[in-house]
Amino acid sequence: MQISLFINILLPVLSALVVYFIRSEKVRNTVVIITALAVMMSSVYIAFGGYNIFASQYLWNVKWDKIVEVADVLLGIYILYIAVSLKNPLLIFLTLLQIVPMFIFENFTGANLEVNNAIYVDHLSVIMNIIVSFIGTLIWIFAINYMKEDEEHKGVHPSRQNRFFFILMIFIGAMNALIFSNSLIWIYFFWEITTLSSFLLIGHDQTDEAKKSATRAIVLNSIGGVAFVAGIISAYYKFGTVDVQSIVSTKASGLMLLPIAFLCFAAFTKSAQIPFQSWLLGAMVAPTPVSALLHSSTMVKAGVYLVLRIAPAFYGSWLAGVVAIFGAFTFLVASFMAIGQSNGKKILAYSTIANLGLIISASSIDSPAAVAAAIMLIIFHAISKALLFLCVGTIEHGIGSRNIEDMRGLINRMPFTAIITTIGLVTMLLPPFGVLLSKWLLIETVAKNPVLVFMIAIGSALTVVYYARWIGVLLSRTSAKDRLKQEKKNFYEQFPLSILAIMAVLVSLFVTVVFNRLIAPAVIEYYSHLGVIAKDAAINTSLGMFNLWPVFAALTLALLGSYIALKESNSGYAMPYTPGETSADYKVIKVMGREDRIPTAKVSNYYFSSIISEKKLTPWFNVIAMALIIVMFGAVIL
Amino acid sequence: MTSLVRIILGLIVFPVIGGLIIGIDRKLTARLQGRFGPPILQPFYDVLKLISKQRLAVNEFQVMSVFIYLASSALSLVLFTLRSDLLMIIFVMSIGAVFLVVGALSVKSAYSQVGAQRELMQMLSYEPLLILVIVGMYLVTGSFNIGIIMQRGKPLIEELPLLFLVMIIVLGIKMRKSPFDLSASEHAHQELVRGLLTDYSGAYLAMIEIAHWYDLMLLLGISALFFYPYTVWGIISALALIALEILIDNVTARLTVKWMLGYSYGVGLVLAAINIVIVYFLR
Repeated sequence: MQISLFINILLPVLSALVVYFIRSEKVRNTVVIITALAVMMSSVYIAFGGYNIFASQYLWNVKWDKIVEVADVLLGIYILYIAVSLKNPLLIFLTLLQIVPMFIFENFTGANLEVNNAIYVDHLSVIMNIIVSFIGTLIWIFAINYMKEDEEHKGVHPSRQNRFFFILMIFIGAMNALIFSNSLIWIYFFWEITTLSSFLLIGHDQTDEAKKSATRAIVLNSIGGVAFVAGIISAYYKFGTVDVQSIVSTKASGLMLLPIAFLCFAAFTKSAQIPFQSWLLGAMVAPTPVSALLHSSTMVKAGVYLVLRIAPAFYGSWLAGVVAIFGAFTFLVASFMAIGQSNGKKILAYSTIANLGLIISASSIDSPAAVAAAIMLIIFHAISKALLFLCVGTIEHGIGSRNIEDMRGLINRMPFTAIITTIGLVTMLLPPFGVLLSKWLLIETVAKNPVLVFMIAIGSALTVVYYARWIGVLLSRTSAKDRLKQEKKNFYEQFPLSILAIMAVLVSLFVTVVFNRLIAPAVIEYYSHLGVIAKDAAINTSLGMFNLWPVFAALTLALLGSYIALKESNSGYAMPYTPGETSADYKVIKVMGREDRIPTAKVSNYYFSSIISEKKLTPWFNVIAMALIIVMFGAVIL
Repeated sequence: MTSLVRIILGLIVFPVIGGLIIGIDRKLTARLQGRFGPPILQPFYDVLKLISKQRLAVNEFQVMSVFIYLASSALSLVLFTLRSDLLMIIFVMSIGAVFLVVGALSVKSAYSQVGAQRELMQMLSYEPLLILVIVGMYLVTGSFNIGIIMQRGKPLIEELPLLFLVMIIVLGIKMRKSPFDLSASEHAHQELVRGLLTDYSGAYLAMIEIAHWYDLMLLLGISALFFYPYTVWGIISALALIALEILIDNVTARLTVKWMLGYSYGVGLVLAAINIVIVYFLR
C-alpha cells in the first residue's frame, strides 16, 4: 500500500527530474509511458487495496511535516522571485501576504500543527485519484506527439519539451498528493504547486499573450492563496486544529463558518468561478495538453474537490445556501456566454466554468443525493472534457483553426477525429450518458428550491444550444459528392483519444457499478445516509427513477435501423436543396439577383454578438458575483 | 392494466390518435381559410405514400438522426404510458430534438441550416418551461413519478393554473405553430421547402411525421395530467388546447427569433415563477 502511494505521488516527480535532465527524445517517451502505466496501476491498486490512513510522524522513517514546511517556504520565495522579475507590485503584495503570515503562524505562535493522519485515503480521494491518474497520464501520452508537432509548427529551437514534460509530470504528483493530504497546510502547499505549474505552462510559448495570460492566472490564483492562508489560520483558532477530518466532523455554526468561507473563496478562484473566470479563459493560449490537463479535467477540479471535502462542515448552514446560489449563478452565466463563442477552445472553457459552478452548487445543497450528483458530475465531466480538449487540439493541428465555423464538414477531412469529437459532445450533452444523468439527479434533488431550479433549468437549455450545433457542424457532408479522406494515423494521439471516448461511453453504461462501489460509499462516509439506490441499470430516489437500459436499447435500435436502411438497395444519396446558389462553397453562399453585383449570403450559427458581448456583459456579471461573495461573508459574520 | 397493454397504447394507439388530431387540424385550418381541406385521414395517406418513395438522403448522419429522433420520441411516450419519471421522459425527448437539429445541420443547404438554427432557439424557449412545469407538479405532489403524481386525488390544475397556461406556450413552440413556426417556415407558396425539414424526403420524412405524433401526444398527456382524476375533463381540455392552438396558428403571423425568446422567457418564465413561488410559500 505504501509502495503504491509512493508510485502514485513520488514517481511522477522522480520521472520529471529524469525527463528534465536527460534531453533524449527516446528516453523521454519511454519514461513518460512507463510512469503513466505505473501511476494508473498504482491508483487501481489503491482503490482495491483497501482504505488506509497513515500517521504523519514517520512515513518511511522521514518526518514529512518538516519537509513540507521548509518546501513551502522555498516555494513561496520562488513565487516571490517570479513576482519581482515580472515587476508586478500586486503579485508581490499578494505573495508577501501569504508568506509572511504563514511563516509567523508556523514558527512564532506555538501552534500545534500536527495532524493525526497526514495521508488519508477514503472513497472521495480514491475517486479523485483515479480521475487524475488515468486522465492526467493519458494526456501525457497525447502530449508526446502533440508537442513534437507543435514545436515543428512554431519553429521552436532548441526544444523546450523537457521543461514542458517536467512541469506536466510534477503537476500530477502534486495533484495526487493534494488529494490524499489530510492537513490543511499540506493541501495548501500542493495547491500552490498547481498554481505555479499552471503559471509556467500557460506562459510556455513565451509570446506576449502567453505571458500576459500566465501573469493573470497567477495573480488571480494568489488571491485564492491569500484566502487559503486566512482559512488555515482562522481554522486553527476556531477549530483548534488544521486536521481536515476533525474539521469536517464538527458541525460548524456562527463564526466557525468563517474559515470555511475563506476556503470556499479559495476554491472559487481555483475553479475559475465568476468573477475569477478570466484566468481560465486566458489560459487557452497554452498548448492543448495544458488546457486539457490543468484547465478542464484536473487542476480546476482541485477547487471543487476542496468544497466537496469541507462540505460536511457547513452542510445545511446559511453559508451553504449562498454557495449553492453562487455556483448555480456561475453555471447560468457561463452557459449563456458560451452561446456567443465560435472559438472551440473558448466554448469548452466556458462550459468548464459552468460545470464547475454546477458541481460547487450541488456539493453545498443540503441533500446527500445532490452531493452524489456532484461527485458523478466530476467523474463524467473530467472524462468528456479532457477528450474534447484533446480533440480540439488535434483538429487545430489538422486544419489550422479552432473556430467551429471552420470545422464544417470535418467528417470528410478528419473522419476519425470528427467521430471521436462527436462522441465527446454527445456524452456531454445527452442522456443516458453520465453528465446528463448527474443533472437529472441534481434537478430532482434541488427542485424544492425554486431559485436554484430556475437557474439550472435555463442553464441546461443554453448548454444544449452550443453543443448541438457543434455536432451538426462536424458531421456536415454531401455523400453524393464528398470523398472521405484518409486521416493521418498517429498512435500517441489516437490511443488516448480512443481510450477516453471508450471510457466516456463505458463508464456511463456501467454507472450503477461505479455508483455503488465508489460514489455511494463516498457520500455515506460523511453524511451517514444517501437516499439514492443504484441497481438493475437504474438510479432510484424517493422522488423518481432514471432507468438506463430502455434508453440505451432505443439508441442501439435506432443505430441498427439506420445502418440497415443505408445498406438497402433502394437507398441513395441526393444533393442538398440549393436553388440559385453556387454549391461550391457552402460557407459563403452566393445568391444571384437582378443586381449587377453578386451579394453574398453567409450562413453560420447564431451567435447573437450584439447581445452576448463579453466586453459589455462581463463587468456586470462580475459585480453580481462579487455581491454574492460579499453576502457569503456577510452571512457568516452577521 | 398490464404493462404490455400500456406499451401497446404508447407505441401504437396514441400515435394513431395523434395522426388523427393532425388530420382534424388540417381540416379545421382549411375551413378557417375558406378551403375545403383534405380528408381527416390524409396524414396517414401522406405517410404511406412517403414510405413507398425511393429512399434518398443527403448523408448518412441525416438517416441516423431520423432514426434516433423517432426512437426517442416513441420511447418517451411509452415511458409516459408506463407512468415513469416525468423528468426522465423530458430528458429522453430532448435526445430526439437534438438529433433532428443535428440531421438538418449536417446538410449544406442554407434552408436546412437556418431552419436548424431556429429550431435550436425553439428548444431554448420551451425546454426550461417544460422542466418548470414538471417541477411545479413535483412541488405539489412530492414526486416526479407519474404514478405517484396521479395518486393525489385532486386535480393539479387547482394549484397550478398558471403552469397550465405555460403548457399552451410550450405546445405552440414544440408543435411549431404560428407565431412560433420559425424553424418549419415554408418557402413562399409551397410546402416542400420547409425550414429544417427541407432536405428530408421519402420514408425519412414519414418517420419525422410519425415522431411528431408521438411528441404531440406526450405534451397533450402532460396537459391532461393537470386534470387527473377527472380523466374526461383532461381529454376535453387537451382537445380544447388543440383547438386553441389551431386558432392561434391561424390568426397570428410568424415572428422573429428574438421575439419568441423574449416572449417565452418574459411571459412563460414569469407565469411559471409566480405559480411556483405561490405553491412554495403555501406549503
